[in-house]
Amino acid sequence: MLATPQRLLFASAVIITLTAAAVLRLQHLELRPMHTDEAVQAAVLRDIWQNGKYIYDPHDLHGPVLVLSSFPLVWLSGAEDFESLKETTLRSTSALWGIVLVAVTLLTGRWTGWKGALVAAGLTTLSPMMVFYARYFIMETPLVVLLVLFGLCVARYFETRSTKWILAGGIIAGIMHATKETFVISVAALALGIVSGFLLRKDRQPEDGFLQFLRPGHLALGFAAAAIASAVLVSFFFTRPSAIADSYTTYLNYLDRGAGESGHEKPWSYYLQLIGWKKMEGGHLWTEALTLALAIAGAIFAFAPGKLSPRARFFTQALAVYVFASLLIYSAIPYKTPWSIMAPLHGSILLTGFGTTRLFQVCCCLPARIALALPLGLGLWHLGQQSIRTNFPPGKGEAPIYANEARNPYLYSQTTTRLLSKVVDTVHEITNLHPDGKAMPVTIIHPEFGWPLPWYFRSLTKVGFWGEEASREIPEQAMAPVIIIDEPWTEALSEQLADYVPTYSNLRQDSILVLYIQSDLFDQLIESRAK
Amino acid sequence: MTACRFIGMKKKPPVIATCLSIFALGAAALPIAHAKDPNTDTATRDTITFIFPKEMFQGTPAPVKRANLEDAENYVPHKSVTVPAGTKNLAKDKPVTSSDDFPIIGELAMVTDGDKDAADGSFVELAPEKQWVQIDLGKSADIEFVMVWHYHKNARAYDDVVVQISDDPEFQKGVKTLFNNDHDNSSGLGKGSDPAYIDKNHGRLIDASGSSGRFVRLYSAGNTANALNHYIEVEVWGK
Repeated sequence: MLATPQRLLFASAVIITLTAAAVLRLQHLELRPMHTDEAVQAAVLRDIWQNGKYIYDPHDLHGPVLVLSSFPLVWLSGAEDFESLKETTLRSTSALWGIVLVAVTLLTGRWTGWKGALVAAGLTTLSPMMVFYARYFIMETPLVVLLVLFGLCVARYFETRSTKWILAGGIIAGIMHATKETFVISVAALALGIVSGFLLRKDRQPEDGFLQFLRPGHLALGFAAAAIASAVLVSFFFTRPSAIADSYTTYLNYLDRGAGESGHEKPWSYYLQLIGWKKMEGGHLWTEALTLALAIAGAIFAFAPGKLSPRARFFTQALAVYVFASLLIYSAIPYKTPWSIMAPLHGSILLTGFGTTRLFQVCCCLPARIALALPLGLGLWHLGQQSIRTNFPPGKGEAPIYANEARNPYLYSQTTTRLLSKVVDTVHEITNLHPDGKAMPVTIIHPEFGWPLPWYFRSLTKVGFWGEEASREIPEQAMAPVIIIDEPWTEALSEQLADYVPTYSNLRQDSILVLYIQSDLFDQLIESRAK
Repeated sequence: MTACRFIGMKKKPPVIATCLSIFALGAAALPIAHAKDPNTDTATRDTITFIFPKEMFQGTPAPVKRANLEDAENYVPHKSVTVPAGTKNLAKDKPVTSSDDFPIIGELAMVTDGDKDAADGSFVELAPEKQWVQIDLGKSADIEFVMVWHYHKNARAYDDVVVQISDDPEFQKGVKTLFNNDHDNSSGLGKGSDPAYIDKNHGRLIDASGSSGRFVRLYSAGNTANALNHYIEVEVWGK
């Protein structure tokens, strides 16, 4: 434990760190256009809020934990209905999870040392990737928080052998399952880390068998707790029991998706480049190489001979194996999305905290410590700068990066700002001219229903969504004053749309939408803009 | 449609009569060709031959789709133009102002520095959505045409391109629009009927013959790749 003056210093540092985490995560949440995944989660929230029902989809969408956790903020925001709900409210939920992540990082101090935990908390606070995805209404940040808590419960269990820790760990595992099914990758890597930690233990007696180490009875208790917690959530408090089986059979879908052609295939080095060194258009460089380098130092200290308590040795060795294994597994899976690597990155941040404090211990003289502190300080400053650039409004003479996929490596299939200016704003402008106002019929013909347009048109009462069935001929009932169509489908529909004026806009960088406005309405629009 | 129908003749004339007619028309036109016409007289006309920067399309081409988009394959760039003698690029090294005083990349002076290359260090990047650059020619001039290179490192079309000239630096009065492809008046400068086009190394020639003004202002509102605005070079030819 720390001495009293050190405790005060530590407490001050914790307050500063948590404040910085809040500042970086809670400001300017409205800037970036809604990502498809965010809009889809918002639609799940609408179903629970308006209809009181949740239907687990084994093909997509994941579990309900993120959405359920957003309700306290939704109620606090004063939003009376889905229409008045704002992006900032939804994203604040993830941001709060991000602040909690910084807090739970501090809890690892029991094993990596309190100073190491503080360094890790600081890095979690400033890490551009951790900040960026804590501002998305997606389940990655909650998943990392739960994973850290699960790891801490497991670590405490192996220290105390108390069933309360295995129960707590089981419940958290169940909640993770109901958050995002891919948690099994991290848990498998963690299990590998624990087994490695056990095998490498120097104080292990020959009679300490593996089964004795695992204690099958306790393990079964943990699994049962996980199964129950998960079942409660995915079945939405047992209102839809079939979802429980679906939440397990869903892995067959994920296996297909992970190995098959999904359009998300990337080379094995994708994640390493993303964390280590990513040069983007306009000369923008993004790097968390400092974290990677110090994590390697942490891993070396974990395995190198030296004075280290068995508890710290076990934890850091298991952590190092977990980070390596999870990075390896994620890199080996062809299906890659940038946010998937958050869990291994946070693991390496924990190792970084440990590695940094050990480095300071090795550098016993003051000049050496200053020589170490200077690049570390510069590195932290650079991480903070990157976080500000990726999320905040640009300063004078700077480009906005928060929605520019060519310059911001953390953006992926991002909705363009042009969609808002060219399509969304125009449609709302037209509703002011149309006699039906918000009840003006709008048709969207798109293979994926034009997400996130359902979010942006939530205040319109007559929006019809059509898929492939309308891609060759628009049905009579789908003809509307405003029709939005996926560009590749427009050629076949051109005759039906002869009386419409098209406006093109990118939905995402690789996907174009065409907004068709009935010509007389278009003339009214031109006239209104001339005034 | 045949030529006969075009001029309203119901019956085809005999071949010999047609040949005679053409000959007669040619003979009648002969004196005109020898007349002192300031538009064709080589003593009062210069030919400007353009030297284009090298083509630099790089990277995976992003799809370029716009309403009224010109067919890039069929567009034949002007390799040379004939203009009144003494016509020169009046914009060279002239001061440039902009709606964005602090460009993201480069400097406003790059717009008129004579460098038409697409490489980094040769273009100025302005803030997203509707922005303009304005060139002060120093005094009112008779302008023949404007040449503009937005960006030609990869294929993209700029949105709502509007080119105007005026003697008023605020563009409140005496404004003449030379080019406007804002098909839905989203920039609020009026609906334009000019085509959207993909920027290439040969730039875009915008006819201005018969126009005069001291200031040339060019608007754009992002492009098919992103919401940003770029200029490599603008030339204003006149005297």
